[in-house]
Amino acid sequence: MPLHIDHISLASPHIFRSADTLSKETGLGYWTGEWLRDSSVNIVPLGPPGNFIEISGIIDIFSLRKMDERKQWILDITETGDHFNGLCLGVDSMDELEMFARHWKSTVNRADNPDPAAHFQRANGYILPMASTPVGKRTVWMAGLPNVYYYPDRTYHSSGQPTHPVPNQVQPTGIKWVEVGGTAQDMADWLGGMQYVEMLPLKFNGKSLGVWAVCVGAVDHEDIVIRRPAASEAVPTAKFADWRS
Amino acid sequence: MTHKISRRAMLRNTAALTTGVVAATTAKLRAADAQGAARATATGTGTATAPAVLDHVHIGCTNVYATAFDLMKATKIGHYDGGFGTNIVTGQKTMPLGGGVYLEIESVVDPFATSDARLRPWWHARAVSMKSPVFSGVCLRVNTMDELKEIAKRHGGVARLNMHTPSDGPPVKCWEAPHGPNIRNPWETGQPTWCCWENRLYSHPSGQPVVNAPGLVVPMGVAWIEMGGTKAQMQAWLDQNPDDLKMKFNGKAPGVYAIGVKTDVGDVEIRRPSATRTT
Repeated sequence: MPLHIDHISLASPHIFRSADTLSKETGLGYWTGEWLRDSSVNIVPLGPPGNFIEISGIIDIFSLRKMDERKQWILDITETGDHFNGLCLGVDSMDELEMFARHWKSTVNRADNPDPAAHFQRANGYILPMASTPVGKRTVWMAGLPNVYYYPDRTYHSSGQPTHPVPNQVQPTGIKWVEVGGTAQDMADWLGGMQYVEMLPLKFNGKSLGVWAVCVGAVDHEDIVIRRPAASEAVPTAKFADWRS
Repeated sequence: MTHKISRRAMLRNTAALTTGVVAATTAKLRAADAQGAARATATGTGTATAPAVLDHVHIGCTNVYATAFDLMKATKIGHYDGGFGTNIVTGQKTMPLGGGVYLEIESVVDPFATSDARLRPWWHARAVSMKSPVFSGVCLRVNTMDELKEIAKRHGGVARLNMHTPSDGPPVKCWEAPHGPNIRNPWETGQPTWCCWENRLYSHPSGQPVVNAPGLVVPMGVAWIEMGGTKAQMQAWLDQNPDDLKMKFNGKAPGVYAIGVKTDVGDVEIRRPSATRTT
């Protein structure tokens, strides 16, 4: 696969309830995903070639006694409910990932970091190795921009794990399109060329940056459109204009 | 469907770990149902008076993910996602203990609950102050609503509907007693409560498959439960011999202090601070 969409993050004030709501709304199943310290995700597989939505949120309110910018951002964008807060692209080799890192004058979060506390882990302790770029004090999600991932081993990819058997479950056949803010040129400027934008099934709505909707195909079912506001609607990206700092 | 095939594969994988538990649980629950039905028929009143049995033990904490994982790692007893409560903004992990009993591990997972203290369960503050997961209570199970109402009445309260949404969707209705404006939450004073499952007893939390993890043991029931106070005090509260429930007493403030769980490789002890408020 060339550059592709890997997953989309949906920030939630209550990930259990949001997963249940989305499941009842769409018929899409989910599984209890991974956790790292104060945060956890529930995963909604979207079908081939390996896409998913991660419903993410803070699950340890005691941790909020020590605030930081990331936690505050999550709180600010979920105070009024679920918001799409991240578009996560994927590549198939470390070389490609490093190429994007160089483009962004950044480095790579390595997949083989031996510190378990640096990785999300599953309920059985499994850690899915993944590398990503760019690396920074702030995630580029705050600026409404996508980052890029590479999985050295996709055999345990989050999109392929069994879901809870929800009633009237539908079988997803993959992402058909993702509606994002801004323009194609904005995205081309960020990724390093229009050729990368053309690899992605994106629709641009001209609104503030970030994800606004995801369309998923399904077997014997009409297309499923999941529409939630982008995080940038709750917290303008201008607040993080100096995200490289 | 790919994910459904995978689901079956997962169930096959966990079957070896849980078959014994499920079978034992199902048999026990069926036996209880049959006994209750037989008594109701015999009396013609619909009021069965079987002794209550242990349903679940509760652990309150600040991080349900870390607590469940750490406990699994220490005991090798498996767990799974228990869903969420609808009355309070919590998430749960369930650890089946065998014999129709489960450990309910719970924490507040909605950050906005912190802005309204009324939405925080009482045990959360105890877990925070003790910097540890805490044993918050014991719940016994009866077979019929008539029994539950009778117990509630005896304690000057009523039965309260406790809705809960497991991960596979349809909400579960479980009634709990005693509650009421004139009585304090029994768990806060270290006393057991009672429950009656209105629906989905057939998919009781004690009988569901756990997440497959390396080296898990097969839990085979609660061997003992260590409570504060005395046997006489407990008998007065329960109107039932605490020996039926394998309770033993340490003479400390009322509450739960530890449980022993039988497994296929020997007994496992789970000991945590009691959340009981005595003042």
